[in-house]
Amino acid sequence: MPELIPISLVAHQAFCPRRAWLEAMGEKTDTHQVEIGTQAHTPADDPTGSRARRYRAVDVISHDLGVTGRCDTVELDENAAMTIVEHKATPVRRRPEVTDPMRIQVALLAGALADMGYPVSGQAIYFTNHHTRVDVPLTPADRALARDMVADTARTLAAEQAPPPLEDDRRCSRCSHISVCLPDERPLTPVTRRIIVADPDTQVLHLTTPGSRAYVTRGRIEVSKSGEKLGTFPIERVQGVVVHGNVDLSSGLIREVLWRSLSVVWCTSSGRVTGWARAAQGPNGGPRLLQHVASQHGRIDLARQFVAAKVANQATLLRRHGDAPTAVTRLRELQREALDSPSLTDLFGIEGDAAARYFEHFLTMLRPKVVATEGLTFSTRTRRPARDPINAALNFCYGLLTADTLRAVVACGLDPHAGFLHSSGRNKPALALDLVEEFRAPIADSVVLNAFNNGEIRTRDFSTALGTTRIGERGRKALIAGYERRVTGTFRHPIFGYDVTWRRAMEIQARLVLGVIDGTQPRYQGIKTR
Amino acid sequence: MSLDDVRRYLIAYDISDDVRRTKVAKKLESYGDRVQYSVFIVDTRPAKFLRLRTQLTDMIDEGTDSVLFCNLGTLRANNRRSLDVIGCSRTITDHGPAIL
Ligand code: SF4
Repeated sequence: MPELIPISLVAHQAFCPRRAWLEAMGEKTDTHQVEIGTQAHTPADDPTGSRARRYRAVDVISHDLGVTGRCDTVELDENAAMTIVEHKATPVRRRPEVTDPMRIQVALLAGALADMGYPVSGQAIYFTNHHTRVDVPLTPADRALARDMVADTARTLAAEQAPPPLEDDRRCSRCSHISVCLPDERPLTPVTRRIIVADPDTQVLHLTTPGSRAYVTRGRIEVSKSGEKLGTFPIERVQGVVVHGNVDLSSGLIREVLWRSLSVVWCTSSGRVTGWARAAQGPNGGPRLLQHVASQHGRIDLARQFVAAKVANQATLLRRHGDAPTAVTRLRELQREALDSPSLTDLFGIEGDAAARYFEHFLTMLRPKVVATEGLTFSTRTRRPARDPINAALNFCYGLLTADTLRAVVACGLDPHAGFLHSSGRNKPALALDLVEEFRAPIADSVVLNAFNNGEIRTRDFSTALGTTRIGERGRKALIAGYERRVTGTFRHPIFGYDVTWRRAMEIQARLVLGVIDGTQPRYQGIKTR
Repeated sequence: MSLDDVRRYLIAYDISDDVRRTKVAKKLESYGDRVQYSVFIVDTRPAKFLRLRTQLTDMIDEGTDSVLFCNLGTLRANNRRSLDVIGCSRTITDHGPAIL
C-alpha cells in the first residue's frame, strides 16, 4: 500500500513543487509567514461562524485519495451535515482570494471526510486578517485536479532529485522557504530582486569563564562561578552555544538547546574543536546519504573552489594591508592554477605553496609600531602547539570559524564528517573544515590583525611555557568579541551583490554545497573578496 | 526594511494572581529583559513576537488580567534612543558579542 500523503504537502505542491520537497525534507523556517500561518490555525473568534456545533482540529484520512490531514474547523448544521472551514492568514494588503492551493486543500479535506462516511455540505475559507469568510463550492473538475495534485506530490517526493527552484518567479518573493531554497542565488550571478532574509534576532552565546557553570533557570541561561552569578541570557535569543575550555554545562541546558534544534560546540581553551551536539531531528536525511556517496567518489570541482577562494582571499588581504606585491602576484597565479588542478595532491601542493608565501609576509600587515612595541615575531605558521602569540591567536580564531561552519553544515542537515578537500577518513569534521578555507583570510586572519593593530590584544595576554604559547582569558574574550563583530557585520557579497552578514554567507555556502549534492545547484563557487 | 526586521517591544502586565503572574514573568524573561517590576523589553522579529503573544494569551485570565504591548519600532531605526531611565536602571541584553 502506498504511503499516505499529508494534505498540507499537496497544498505546498500546488504552490511550488520545490516547497513540497523542502517541507518533506524537514526544512523548517522561522519567518513571519510561517508564524502567522500557524496562528491562523488556532481559530480565534470567527464571528461569521454561527452554526450550532463546531469541532476543531478534526483529523481525516482517505485511502482512496491517498491522503491524511487535519481540518481547522468543522461546523455541523441541524441535520448534522458538515461544513469545513479552513483558516488562512493572508496579509491585509492582499485581497482575500481563494487560491488554487487553498481550493485543492479543501477539496481533499472534504473528499477525505466524505470517504470516512460523514455528510459534507460545504467548504469555506476564513481569512483571519480580513475577518472574511468565503464559501468554496467545488466542481467535479476541482476534485479531479486535487486528485491529480496528490499524484504530482507523490512523484515529487519519490524523485531522486530535488525539484529545481523556480526562475524569476513572483511566487518566491512571498514564499516562506526562500531563505533555505535560495532560488535567486542558484545561477551564481548578482541578485536583482530585493532580498527579504532579515537579520536574526538571536546570537551565538560564548561561554568562556574557566571554572564556571551554565544552566537554565527561569527561561534564561545563567552562568555562575563559586556561587556568584556572572550573568544571564534569554534562551529565546540563543542561536547556538560555543563552550570554551573548562566550563560546566548542565544537562538541562544541553537538552533545552537541542530541543530548539540548535547546536552546542565545545572547544579547548586554545580553540581546537573537541566536539559538538546536534538535535536528533534535522532536515535532508536523503541528501546526506548522497553526500557520503559524493565524498567517497570525490568532487574535485568543489575542492578546487575551496582552495582557489582561499588563496584568492589571502591575496586580497595581503594586497590591502601588507607590503608584498610580488607575493600577491604569485598568489593570484596559484589561485588560477588551483582551478585547473588535476588532483587533490596537486591542490594540497598549491595550498601549501600559497600558505608559505602568504604567511612569509603576514607580519607586513601589522602596524610596524605595534610589531616593535609588542615585540611580535612570526616566522612561520605553526599549528599546534603555537610558538608565538600570532599563531596562538590564529589557532583560536580558526576554532571559532570551524564552530560556525559546523553549525551551518549541521543546520542544513549535512554531515560535517564527509568532506571533499579534507579527507573524511581522518576523523575530522572534514566538510566543516572545507568550508572554513575560503573564510580564513577575510574573517579569522583579519580579526587577528585588527585585534593586534588596535591594541585589543597585547603580547601580555599570552604566556609561553616550554615552547608553547597560550592565550589567556582576557585575550580570548577580546578575540571572541572581535570575531563576533566581524561575522555579524555585513559585506557586499561578491557573487550575489547584496549586503549580507558573514555568518549568513557561511550558511549560504553550506547550502550551495547541499544544492550541488542534491542536484539543484549546477556548480559551487567560493566567495572571493575583492 | 522587511517584515521580519527585529523590533523592540515594551511589554507591561497587570496580573493579580500570583501563579499566573509568575508564569507570565518567567515567559517574558526567556524572551527579553525585566526593566521594572512588571515591565519588560523584548527585542525580537515579529514572527517570534506573535508566538510570545499567543503563549501569553493562553496563560492569562482575559477577564481580570491585562498585558500591554508597545511596539517601539525596528531596532535598526530605534538605536536604543527611545528609552531613557533615571534612577537605577537594569541592563538590557546587548546585541553585540554575547560572552559569559
Ligand atoms: S522560494 Fe520559490 S522556488 Fe523556492 S520553494 Fe519557494 S516558491 Fe518554490
